[in-house]
Amino acid sequence: MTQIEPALRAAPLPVLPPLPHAREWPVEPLPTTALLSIEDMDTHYGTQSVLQEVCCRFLEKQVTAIVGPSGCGKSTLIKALNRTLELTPGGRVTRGRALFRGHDLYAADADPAAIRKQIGIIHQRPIVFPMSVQDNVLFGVRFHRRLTAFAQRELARELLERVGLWKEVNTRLDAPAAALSGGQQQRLCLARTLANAPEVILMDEPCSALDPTATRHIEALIAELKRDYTIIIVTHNMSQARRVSEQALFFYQGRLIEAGSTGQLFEDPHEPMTREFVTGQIG
Amino acid sequence: MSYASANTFFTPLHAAWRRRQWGELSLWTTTFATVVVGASTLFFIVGFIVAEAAPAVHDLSNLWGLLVAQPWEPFADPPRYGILHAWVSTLLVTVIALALAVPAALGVAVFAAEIAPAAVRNFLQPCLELLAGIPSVVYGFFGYVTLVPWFEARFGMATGESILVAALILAVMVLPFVASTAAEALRSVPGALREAAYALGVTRWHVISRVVMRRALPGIFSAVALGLARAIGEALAVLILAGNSTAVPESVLDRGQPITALILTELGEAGVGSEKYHALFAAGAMLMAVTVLINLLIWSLKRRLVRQHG
Amino acid sequence: MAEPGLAVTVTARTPSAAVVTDKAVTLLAWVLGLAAVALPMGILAFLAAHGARVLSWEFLTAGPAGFPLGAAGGIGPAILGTLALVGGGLLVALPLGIGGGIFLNEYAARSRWVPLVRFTAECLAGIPAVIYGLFGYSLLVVFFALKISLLAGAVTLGLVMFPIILIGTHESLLAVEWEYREAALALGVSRSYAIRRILLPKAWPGIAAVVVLAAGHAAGSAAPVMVTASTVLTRTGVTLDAPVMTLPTHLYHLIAEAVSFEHAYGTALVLVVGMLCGNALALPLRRRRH
Repeated sequence: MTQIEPALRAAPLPVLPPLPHAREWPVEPLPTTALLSIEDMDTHYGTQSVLQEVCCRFLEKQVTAIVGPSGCGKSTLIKALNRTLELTPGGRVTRGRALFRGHDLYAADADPAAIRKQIGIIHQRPIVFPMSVQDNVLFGVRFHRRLTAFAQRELARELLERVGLWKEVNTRLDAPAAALSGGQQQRLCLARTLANAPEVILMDEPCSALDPTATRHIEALIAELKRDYTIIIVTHNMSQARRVSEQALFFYQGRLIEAGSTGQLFEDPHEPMTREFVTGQIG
Repeated sequence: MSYASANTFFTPLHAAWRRRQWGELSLWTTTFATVVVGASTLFFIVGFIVAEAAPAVHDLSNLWGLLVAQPWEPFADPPRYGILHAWVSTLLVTVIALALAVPAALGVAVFAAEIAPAAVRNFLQPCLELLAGIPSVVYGFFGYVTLVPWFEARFGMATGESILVAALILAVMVLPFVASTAAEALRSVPGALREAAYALGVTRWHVISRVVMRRALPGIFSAVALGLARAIGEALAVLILAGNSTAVPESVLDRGQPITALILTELGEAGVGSEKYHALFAAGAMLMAVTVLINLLIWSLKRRLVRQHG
Repeated sequence: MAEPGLAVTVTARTPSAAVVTDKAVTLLAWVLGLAAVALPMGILAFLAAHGARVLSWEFLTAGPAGFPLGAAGGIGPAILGTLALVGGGLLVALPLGIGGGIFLNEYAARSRWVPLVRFTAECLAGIPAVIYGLFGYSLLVVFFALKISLLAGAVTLGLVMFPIILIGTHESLLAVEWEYREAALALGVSRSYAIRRILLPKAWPGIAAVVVLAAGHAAGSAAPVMVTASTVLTRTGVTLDAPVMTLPTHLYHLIAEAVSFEHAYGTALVLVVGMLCGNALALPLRRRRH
């Protein structure tokens, strides 16, 4: 769609060595070309340790679900992926690397703003800015690009149609966004993120504050968007994870316990702890 | 590998410079400049006042003379500049004003925070703000046309201007500040504490005096300190009402001249660099020192409150 | 908050002394509370009763006249002078105060310098106005040789106002939840863009309220302007290098020289009504924040 950071686009996808701590899993071999990967990462909030020795990969144009009981560090992980962890008071990555197409996101010369443009995020509670619906959608675009007013309106329309909001808001584009319902606001946040033309969309429990109808809307959107974007979704709802994702990661108390395809993780987990979680004994 | 923990407030500046974000760069530099200029005004003010006051106190005996021994006689031969009458007046006026205002203000605070129903409270708040907002010169005028004639009639004085009248009006001026700060301190006591006390079946006043006020004590102290600072620094009202006499007041019905009134009266007639000029600055330095000390006290009380109760 | 009555059980009763004390204190508190309401109303009513008959369009616009000067005519130049001083002062205070508040909360948010700068601002806010007058006199009038002038007075008033505005701006920005900053920066925009588009619009009612209050306070304070800017009478208009008449110093002059008590009531009423308008303006701005 648009301008993308040239350095990040130009590099070929590297073939990465096998994961450390990897064990021999008998089932289908995982493709080794990953868009995003995390190597041996620790994170802290202040002095409290949240994630420990996390190594995982996220495959391109697939939906990866991160599941686990509450408080196990799922949100921290995805915030570390687009460098919004450091915006939280006290949050920081203390060890390890995050690689996007082979480039270290935490290198000294990495630009957090460019990273956040490439890797977008929507939060659990939709945060709409105190401006109109149209201005909300165009907020990031107005900063990153120079478009005429006409092009901006067209872009806003395109995005709102993509997230299925156009029919509902086209008569009130200039009304304050705060007047929308929770589900509409969440879709608005999604449109706002899509406006930056990211490659990856992170979702931090996007449906937990929404009613079932709105949740269905968002899940349908995910199914549509995964053709063009890599999606990583944190969810505590196991059935949602089974519905929307192809890959899954199970976390417990800050550590990655098991990673695999969704089908394998939920039907035939290898780790006993995963089995306990899937059968509802923990979490 | 740079992790976010290495951030200082210069980090956004370096980042903006590297990325050629001129808008970001200019905002950082202008706002940083305003902080530097703003914060340094305190040192400028203190520095200037102390510098101009220094010639008046170049040795210890001189200081004693300034503060205690000498009277204020600019027309004597040789002219003598002592500010005893001024700080004694300030002390008298302040002590009397606080003695009247603090109990009343605490009563109003207890009323506002604990006893008044919501409708009355919502009406009381703007009234206190009104009281606090009336300019000092209007208070002086009000006292001049109401209290001064009454004192003259009642006590048969030649002129009703006196320490007592000034202190009465000052008490009214200080009341809203002490009351609203103390009320806020009382309101910040957590409701759970009150509920636990009531659950033991005691009366309301028992809860207020034994539990709520005790818990809010640092906040109440800082409210009183605030009142003290305002009373000491008050200028126009005492200028109009205290009488402007350069003799040391011996009773509350005497006329006096607090430090602020002394400065306003004499500065216009003091030649720059003269002995009187430096003496006035010395008086001002004394005032400023006391005020800064009181502010330090308030600040440390607030910090202690935050540290104790989070 | 439920008020417990007498503990009615078979064997125990609240001691009657405690009940009597409680009722007595409640009564006292009500008396004090009503006095706190009656006092400002009383002062206002008193001033209005005596001063209203003086108020007229001529009073508000014409210059002082009559013998002694001020016994007739009006207070027009004083009103203009006060407005000019406060306006000029805001030109100094707004950048220092708002800029400082922005830096403290957006760029230096977790630095250990912030409490220090806040303490400095609170010290400055607590310094008596007469000390600002002394400082303005020695620095601006004498050292910079600005003479007694509108410029000297405006800068002095600006210094009086700016700590209040800085503290207010800092508090208003602190009150904006950090999730807004997170959501905005997560879209890859720069800090200045987020400040301009989201944080300042969210914080501006609180900032506006504190600016109005600071301006009202400065308009009524005579001490800083008495020694830096004001004079008894100006024949010229309002210019930067000439002294100006101001409302509070004019009121003082009317009293001190026993010129005219009628006009003094009128001047006092104008001052108080002006301050009331300012408070009334600030009130909805503060309510909107909550």
